[in-house]
Amino acid sequence: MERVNPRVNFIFFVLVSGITMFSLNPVILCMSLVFSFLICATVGMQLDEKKMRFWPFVPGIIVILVNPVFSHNGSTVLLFIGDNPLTLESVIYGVVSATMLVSVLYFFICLSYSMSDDKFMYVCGFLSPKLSLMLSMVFRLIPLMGRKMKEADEAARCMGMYKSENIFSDIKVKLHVFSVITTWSLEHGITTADSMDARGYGRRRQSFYSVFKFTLRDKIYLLLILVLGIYVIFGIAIHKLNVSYYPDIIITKPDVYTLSLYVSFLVLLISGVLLNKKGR
Amino acid sequence: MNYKLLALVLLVLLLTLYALTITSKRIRTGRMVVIVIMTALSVVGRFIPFFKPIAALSIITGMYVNAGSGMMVGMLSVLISNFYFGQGPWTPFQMLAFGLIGFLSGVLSKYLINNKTFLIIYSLFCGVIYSLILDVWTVLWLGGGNLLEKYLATAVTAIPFTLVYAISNVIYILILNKPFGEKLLRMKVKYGI
Repeated sequence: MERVNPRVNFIFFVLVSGITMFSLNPVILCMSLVFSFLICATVGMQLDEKKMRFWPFVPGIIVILVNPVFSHNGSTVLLFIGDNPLTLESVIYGVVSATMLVSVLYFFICLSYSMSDDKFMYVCGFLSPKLSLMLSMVFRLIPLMGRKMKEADEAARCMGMYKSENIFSDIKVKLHVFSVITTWSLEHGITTADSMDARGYGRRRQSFYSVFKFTLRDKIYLLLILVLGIYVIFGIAIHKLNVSYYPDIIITKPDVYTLSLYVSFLVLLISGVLLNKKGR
Repeated sequence: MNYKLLALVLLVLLLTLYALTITSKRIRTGRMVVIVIMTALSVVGRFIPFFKPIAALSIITGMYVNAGSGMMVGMLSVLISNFYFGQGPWTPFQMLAFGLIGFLSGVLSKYLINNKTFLIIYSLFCGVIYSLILDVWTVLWLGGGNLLEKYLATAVTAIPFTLVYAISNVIYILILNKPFGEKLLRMKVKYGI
């Protein structure tokens, strides 16, 4: 069984990171943190060269440290630093928003792990075939330019242009190489454009080809994700998951409806782990 | 708290709408290829150490080709290079900033090409604008109340970075303006893109 259709996966990540960003509910955030970690590990494990990254914790720690400095709201004063009160509420708010930030960053890492260039182009294809074509051309040009750049660089080295006396002359040679690449790629681009025109590009409405298929299984997944996601978003929109942090921390008592929201978010996240797990 | 939602949704909508309008119009194949090449160049250029040419190349494309192309180069190069340098919630903000820079330079192209002092002032201004737009992201992400106060504080703390952006921007523009201008104008004259 192959992995799920990239468009479905993309919609999953948009939904999940959106819900995480806009609810400041601690239960939701804890679930997001745990599952963003889990999904990142499942996706990252399949790509051998990429190990788990831990840099998202750095901005998280910064947010925890910075928040009490700026906001002195809250009724429970822990201590005074100079004239400014340090309140329990602002510390907790800092921790909550740091959790949000870290889990959103992990979701983005997952997204870029699981989206290769061709998948990204496929995802953009529904927006406009022309945009997708442009993206594919850029993705093709980048390695090509890298190779040409290396060639030009070696040629410059052979010609003895790198004196390595001072750094400025070397930078000048690097810029010269960059300029060579520019001229080459512009000339090359004109050839491309001409041959595209000759083959009748832009004469008619464009169609879009891709190797990915939209199977019945994808449809079922998509339906499941959309229903669960929209249910949770609706709950957030009618303030069912609201938690107020200032001046006092007030969590509305969970009733059946709130519990159902938590459960559906959990199911959404679990389905995400399954989506990103490669079969066999 | 809902400022964050509002800002992000508006931004994404705006960028999508713009991308759709520019791509649904019939742009000439040659111009499309030039946009693609400038985008690829600024992505590749970002790999050279200490060389961050996205702003400079969007400004130059805006100046010598047109406003829409400048905007497209700015937005696409951030979007694509962030695949290599880290995608995140800041991507739409960066796209907005660079797109705006490219677009503005297309609008002001007449003055920018003829007047070097104006060009230098404009690229300083672009560095500042970029920094200010990204500060909005930082503040929205800190969340909580006192947004204006936090914004001012962030902007003040970011002054060294703003200066680095602005000054490096001027340096790149001064280095790249002449060769790239010549090349793009030659394309215009010779091939009529």
